[in-house]
Amino acid sequence: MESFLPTLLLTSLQGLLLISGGVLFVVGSIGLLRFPDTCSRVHALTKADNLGLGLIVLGLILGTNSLGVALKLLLIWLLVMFASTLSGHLVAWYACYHPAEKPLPQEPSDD
Amino acid sequence: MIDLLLVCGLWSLALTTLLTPNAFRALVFFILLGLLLTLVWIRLDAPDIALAEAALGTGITGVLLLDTLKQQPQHALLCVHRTRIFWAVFSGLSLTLALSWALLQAPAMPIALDQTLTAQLDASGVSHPITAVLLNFRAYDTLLEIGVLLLALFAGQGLHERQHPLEQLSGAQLHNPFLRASLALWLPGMLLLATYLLWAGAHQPGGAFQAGAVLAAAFILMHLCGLALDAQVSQHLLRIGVLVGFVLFLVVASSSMLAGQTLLTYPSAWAGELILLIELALTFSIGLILFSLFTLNHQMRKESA
Repeated sequence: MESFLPTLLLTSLQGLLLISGGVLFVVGSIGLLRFPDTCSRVHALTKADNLGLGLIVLGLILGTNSLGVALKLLLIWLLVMFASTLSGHLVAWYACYHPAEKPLPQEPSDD
Repeated sequence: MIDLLLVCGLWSLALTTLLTPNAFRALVFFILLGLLLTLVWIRLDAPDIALAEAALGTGITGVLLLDTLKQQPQHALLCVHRTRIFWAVFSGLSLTLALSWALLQAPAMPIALDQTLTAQLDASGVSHPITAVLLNFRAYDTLLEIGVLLLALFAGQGLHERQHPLEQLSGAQLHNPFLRASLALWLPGMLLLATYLLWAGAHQPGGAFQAGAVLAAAFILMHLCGLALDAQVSQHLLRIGVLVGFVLFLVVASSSMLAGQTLLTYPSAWAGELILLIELALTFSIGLILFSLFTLNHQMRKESA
């Protein structure tokens, strides 16, 4: 009976973290679809998704008992943050310096 | 539930890849398809194939395709013919039918291969069954695979007349200070990861092809950043490095014939060490071959420009 409350608390905390992480991913994707230009799209993706991944990683860490797995999950988060920072920067940088160059013919947009 | 979602995702991504008229978009969907396929392999408990799919099938192939596309923007709009869709659906369905027929008709295996493998695993020199099959029991296949890669590179080099030193290729470089700084920070990490994948191959998922793909990614990033060795040194290194995997493998494979044994028999006392040596050379060669395929693309672009 003693261990019931902490388990319940832990599970609900975990669920809260995982669900809010997922929600952040959805928000980031909506931003990607709705924002008008490259820079704000990159901003929506990198910001919301890194936070979302962080929440999901936190939720998963709460579920493990092993320190090794927890550290590996943290490492994944850090590496993904680094990679998405770099790729987001590169996309924005390219869009800034090559504004006239349309890499591909645009399809008729639907908005 | 997860499996169902994955299968639906695979179907819709594959269809989108086929039906999109924009080649760039189709390519992005193809890369997504590869990533989803990686998840499917993980669900099927095949981490080796998942690693290879992620590193080679999605990563390096995606980079090569994107690079090719950038080279030919005039072909960016594909026309989606009805015949194309018909043939895609037809061949997909017939393959599925043929596979299910083969599965139903499969005779009981005369030899239980998995049990034979488990029984013989100690003699192979490694403890991971997949590496044991790839580099010992069926090493012939792997030898031919690296041969095919080498042939592809030779065919690519044969397509254009002369070699340019790598130094001259500056058309596609990204002169971005942040990329350069991050690469300087992470290059040791990438090399460490390649070495780890190679070393881990002896007892857990990993191996030469996955490690070679990571190595190739590091080389490509270095090339894009404009970090290069002295042109002459890198030419020599490239020529030797591309060949060393195949040559070493062939030497080890045929040296057993001197002792009167058949091709590709390792002396069992040294099997582990020999496999590690071959894998080391293979990793280096695969990295360089994939990188050379990437730079070939740039050389051609420079010639056509």
